[in-house]
Order: sequence, then structure tokens, then C-alpha cells
Amino acid sequence: MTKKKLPTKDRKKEDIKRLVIERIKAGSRDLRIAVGSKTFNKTSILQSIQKEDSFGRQIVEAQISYLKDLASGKIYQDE
Amino acid sequence: MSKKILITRPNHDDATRYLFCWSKLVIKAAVKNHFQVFDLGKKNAGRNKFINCLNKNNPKAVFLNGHGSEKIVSGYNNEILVEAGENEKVLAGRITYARSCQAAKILGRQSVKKGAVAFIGYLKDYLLVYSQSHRRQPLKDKLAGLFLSPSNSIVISLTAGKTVAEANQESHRQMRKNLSLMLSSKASAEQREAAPYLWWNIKYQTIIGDSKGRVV
Repeated sequence: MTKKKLPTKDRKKEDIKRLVIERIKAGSRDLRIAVGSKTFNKTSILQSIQKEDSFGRQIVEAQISYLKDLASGKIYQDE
Repeated sequence: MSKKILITRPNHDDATRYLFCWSKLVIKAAVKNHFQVFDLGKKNAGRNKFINCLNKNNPKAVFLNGHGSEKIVSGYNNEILVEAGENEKVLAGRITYARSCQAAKILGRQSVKKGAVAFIGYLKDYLLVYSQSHRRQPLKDKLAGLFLSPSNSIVISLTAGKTVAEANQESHRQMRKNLSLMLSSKASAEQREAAPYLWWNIKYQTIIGDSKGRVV
């Protein structure tokens, strides 16, 4: 049975998700992220990204905008 | 009305405990800058005490620590202290810094429309990264300090007589300095890992209202 190919947009989204998951997996177990009244550790961050809940989407957005701004040099520019 | 500051700092969960502890440094600096500090800490960071303190003492500077959303900032046990469309008028004539999620988006704008001088806050969530091994001693958590020290500097600058814009600039300068460290070869793995989230705060920390306003 051949695997069904995802449309390009969905493939890109899955690639981004995988990239962020790998970055988080490589991180520290000691680190916590507090957002509002919730605190997330490595395991719960990964679960949120997998589930694509609001926190998971936010982490993906934060990671991707950081990587884009790092690549473009925006991070190093003065305001 | 000058030389008075009201600070709310609940401590009912990990995040607010960090804000509570790190706000002590702001209180020390405000006292050093000859400010009378109205410190609504722990259970005192409730709505009634907050409103009564504003009415009775009329502080020009307000520093809110707690959870928030686009329309609200809350206090102890997430009791709503100030809400857009409800009581944002209590911030009229004042300069407020809300170290809480999203509140600049609607509450900040609404409060300025209703007469607040300025509102410094975040258009999206405020992210705080800390080290689990330090959670019993937040002030010793250097990772959290990379986030909290620059945000403390907003209020410290204001009480030192800086304008809203200058206070915000100083905070941005410190965040960028910390980010440079986090991107350098001197950074620990945890510091490097936390960098995207400090960048997030840099992007979304903003001023609504009169950037030339001062609290003294």
C-alpha cells in the first residue's frame, strides 16, 4: 500500500512541527515555561505541540519566529 | 499624587511566586528613590484592597503582577483587579506597568481612552522561563533573572524619574543584552534554550499612551 502524500501546505506544517519537537527534545529537563497560571515542563510542552493545543501552537510560533529572525539578522539589529 | 506607587504581587502559584519575589527588588529601588510604596502582597492583592488603595492614596505609578488576558489583570487567586469595559477608569491619571499576559491589547488601550497617562504591557502572553531546581528560591534563579530583571527595570526607571519611553527602552536594552549573552558561546544550554521566549517578550512588550509621561 502506498502512503498518501500530504498537500504541500500540510507537509510544511508537519515539517515545522517536527523541527520544533526535535529542538524541545534536545532541551533540559530542568527548564519550565510559565504562561498565565500554567507551567510546562519538557514532557507537557511536547504533548501540547503534538496535540496542537493553544500553548503548543504558541511554542511553535515562538520557535519559528525566533529562527526566522535569527536567520534574517533581525535579532542582532538595534531597534 | 507624586512619589507614590502601588504594587500588586500575589503568590498563589509558581509563576506569581517568581513575580512576588522579584518585585521585592523593585520595592527596594522605589524606597531608595523616595517613593511611598503601597505593597499589596499575597492575599492583600485582592480587588477591594486594590481599589481602596487607589482611591485613598492616589498613586501615580501602578505596578501589576499577576495573570492576565486581553481585557483583565488579576490578583490573588486570579481575582480580577481591573477589567476593560468594567473599571479601567481606576487607572486614569496613572502610569501602569502590567507584568501579565496580553493586557496591553485591550485593557491598555481602553484604560488610556478612559484617561490613563500610559500603560506598558504585552500584546501577547508574557513568557517566563525558570529553572525547576531553583523554584524554592526564585531570587537565586539566574535563568528567570534574564527575564525578570529587565522587566523590573521598567518600574525602577520610572521611579528614578525616567519617561515611559525611556523606561521601556532601558528594559529593551537589558533584554537584548541578555539575549546576546544567551546567543553567545558563554551561554549554558538552558540559557540558549530559553532565548526564543525572551525574544518573544521583546517583540510584544509595548507602550500605550503618552510615552513622554513620568511618575515624578
